[in-house]
Amino acid sequence: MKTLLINGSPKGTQGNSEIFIQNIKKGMHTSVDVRYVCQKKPSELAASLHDYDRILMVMPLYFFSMPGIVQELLEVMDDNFAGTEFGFIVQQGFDESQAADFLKTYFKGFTNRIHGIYLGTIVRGGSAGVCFMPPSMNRKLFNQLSNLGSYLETHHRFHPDIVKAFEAPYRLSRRKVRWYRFLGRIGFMDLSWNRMMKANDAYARRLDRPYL
Amino acid sequence: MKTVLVNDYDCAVNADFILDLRKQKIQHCLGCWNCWLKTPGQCVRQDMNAFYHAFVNADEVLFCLQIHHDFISGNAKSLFDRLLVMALPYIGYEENVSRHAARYEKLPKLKFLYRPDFSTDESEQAFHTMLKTIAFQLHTFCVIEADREGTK
Repeated sequence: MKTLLINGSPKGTQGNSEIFIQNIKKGMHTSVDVRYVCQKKPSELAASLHDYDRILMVMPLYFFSMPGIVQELLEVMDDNFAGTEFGFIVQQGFDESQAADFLKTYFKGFTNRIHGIYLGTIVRGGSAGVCFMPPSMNRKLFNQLSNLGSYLETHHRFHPDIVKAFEAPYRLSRRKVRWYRFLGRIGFMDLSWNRMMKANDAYARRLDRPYL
Repeated sequence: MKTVLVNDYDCAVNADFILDLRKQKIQHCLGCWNCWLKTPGQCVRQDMNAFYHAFVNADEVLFCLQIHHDFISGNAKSLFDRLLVMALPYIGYEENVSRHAARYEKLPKLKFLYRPDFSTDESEQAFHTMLKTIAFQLHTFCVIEADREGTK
């Protein structure tokens, strides 16, 4: 069974989607290829998809749906994917997985339309910092991704426990919001943003409104 | 009243500024975060500068969106992605939902007019919810209307 992992990030090999893909791949033992939407013309990539039995699309959430370049691929795909398994993995910055609700509805309908077999859409919140953190802090996530890959290979579906773990919290609890607001008031929430802006000598201009 | 029209079909509405998505290919968002971290508020790509100026100074922006198989075009989606410059990286919490802080004090009211091609009511409802979330994230509000007869 041939599996294709599609990286839907405009950042290609440099972003969090790539980290997700490499760790999913670690858990898989059959033939796995990786393609990048930012490196190929949508029509060329779409034409190559029929060579695979299983296609996993991994992408960041951009404005509550897929990045524009992923949609450019989806809109040129034909509907002759009978027997091909399709799964979607979305990683996003916001904690609450509810932010990607649209994609769950959309990808299910999309897979039905192209006559594929829908494996599901998994949303992993709180992922914006993955690429900035040392591997030791991501160990649990990497193990989950690897297990996701191996379980998918043997069971032809996403591991329900990992899906559940990734998608929590679906909504933010009032308690968590109170905590985050407290951290915001003492300046903790903005620390890493400010540090990065200072490193770029951009902190003084952080509130600029250049298009007024 | 200053108006902007983003036209992805033959919508016959006058506006002070028109972005015709049928003629202009929007360069996609690079996900580089330069608009947050290096050149605050400014996109490294230059193709949308005139649109950004018109957008932030408008009272109303009308998006005429062609739906095809439950969603907008990749070109229109790239335009939405590029609205990231309107936000600050800082995150706040409103109605128990995460939301980026506003870069601009006031952004225009958004009107989404679309020619529907939805496979189910659920798909159309999910699309509405997504548009409302976008307006919420931009700290503005929106009106959503289907152009079912193709008359506008």
